Amino acid sequence: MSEPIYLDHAATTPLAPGVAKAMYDALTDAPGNPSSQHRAGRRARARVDEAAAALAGLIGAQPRELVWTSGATESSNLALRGVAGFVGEGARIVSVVTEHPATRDTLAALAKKGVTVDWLTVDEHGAIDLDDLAAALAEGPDLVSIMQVNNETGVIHDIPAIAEQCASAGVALHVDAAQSLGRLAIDVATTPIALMSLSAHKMGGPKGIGALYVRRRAPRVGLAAQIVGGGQQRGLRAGTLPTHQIAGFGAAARYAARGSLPAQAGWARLRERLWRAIEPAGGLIRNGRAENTAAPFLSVSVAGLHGAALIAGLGEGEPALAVSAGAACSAAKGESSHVVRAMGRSPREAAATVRFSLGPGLDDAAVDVAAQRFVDEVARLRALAAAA
Amino acid sequence: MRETDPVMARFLRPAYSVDADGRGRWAASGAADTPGEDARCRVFLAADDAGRLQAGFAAFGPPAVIAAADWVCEHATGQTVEFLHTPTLADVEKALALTPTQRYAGLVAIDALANAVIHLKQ
Repeated sequence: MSEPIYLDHAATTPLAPGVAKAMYDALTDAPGNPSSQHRAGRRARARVDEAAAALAGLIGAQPRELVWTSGATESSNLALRGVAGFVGEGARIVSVVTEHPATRDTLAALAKKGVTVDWLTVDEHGAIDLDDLAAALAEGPDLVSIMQVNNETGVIHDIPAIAEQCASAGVALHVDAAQSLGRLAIDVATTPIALMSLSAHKMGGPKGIGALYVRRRAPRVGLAAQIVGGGQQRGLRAGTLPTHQIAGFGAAARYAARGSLPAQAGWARLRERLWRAIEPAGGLIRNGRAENTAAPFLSVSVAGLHGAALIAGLGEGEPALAVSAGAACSAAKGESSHVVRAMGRSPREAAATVRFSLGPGLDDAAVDVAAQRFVDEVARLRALAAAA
Repeated sequence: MRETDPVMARFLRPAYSVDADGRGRWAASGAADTPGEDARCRVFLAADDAGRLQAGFAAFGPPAVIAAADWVCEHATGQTVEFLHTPTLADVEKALALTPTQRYAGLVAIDALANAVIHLKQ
């Protein structure tokens, strides 16, 4: 049995060079509590500060503008629930129908508690209409929440333009950057973003650690803490800081600055090679325009076969392809990708959608093998279904 | 491949599948579907001079549907039309270790076989 070809870097990435060592060193050399004032605590605190400096440097922030969390999901919860809690009665938030469940489900929960949520739709390419955003801003929301890169399709929202539009309207912007950190350059020093959710394990860091960037100067946004009980992190997120996780995140940020961001052009080239190689299968719809999709992403809806069969066939056959359906894949149960359906695909097309996401360890040869495997599996499943 | 999973083993290497070009050589067929699962199955039958059956299938659906269709075709092949023992859901469940949420796959395959037998006898 051969090793699977890993094409699921949007789900999680292998540890980047230097990350495991940084974590090990923090565990063994700095076991103190970073909040303690004694020497062992200060030693741990130094690891946290180094990591904060590296991560802040990657996004143009100040280290003290970062709040460590358990991951981007918690970061987005803190951003959305925090703003809603700070505003109180009458809170209003604008978001997009194609957001990650971390945002969608949180806003759905807030809506049940009385928060007004305005949902922006997308076109067939997954893009919002800035006129729709302008109309939503005219309603006087307290926050706009938009992801920079869609987790299923890789479609990029024009955050600099959106941020300027929000700033002009005096509305705070939260950006879910879980999929864009380390893949797209973003500078909060020049882009008026109030809050930004960050994840380590999508960019070569460990799972279980994320951060929320909270701007300290205009546009500044009020946040109500969601986890209390210790006063750490200026009261915004209580709990002992996990030094080794944070050190790993910092090492991943350092690697991203010198390695990941420059590598994006290579992933884009490889992605186009993959697309050209699978396109002859026919009946494929590419979700999102290449020029407006983050480099590692290729989302394809496949006609003429069942989504669950496709994912199982790719994942269990030889060689196995580690790809993602992007979402549950039963068209009949309405479980197909809400993102792809929002882009105008039918439930069945959305159900038979595969997300390839490229990253370290892949080269031309691996992509060619994966493409041939995909083409063969699509042909096999279509043949099985053709006479049914 | 998960070799120990009978559903996955048959899904990846079905022995009784019929492609679109091959369907003309069969004497009869019967179909069944489960719209709630977006799955459909067609079983093809032919009998030799001694009345012994050969079965084949085509299916659109999750792996369990393809595996169940393959299994019922194996079950029917070699039996005679007159004394065909139509498998029960329990037979399919046991043979493929279907989970409760996969039972529909056994039913759609059994129904397709039963309909094919009816058409063959006509």
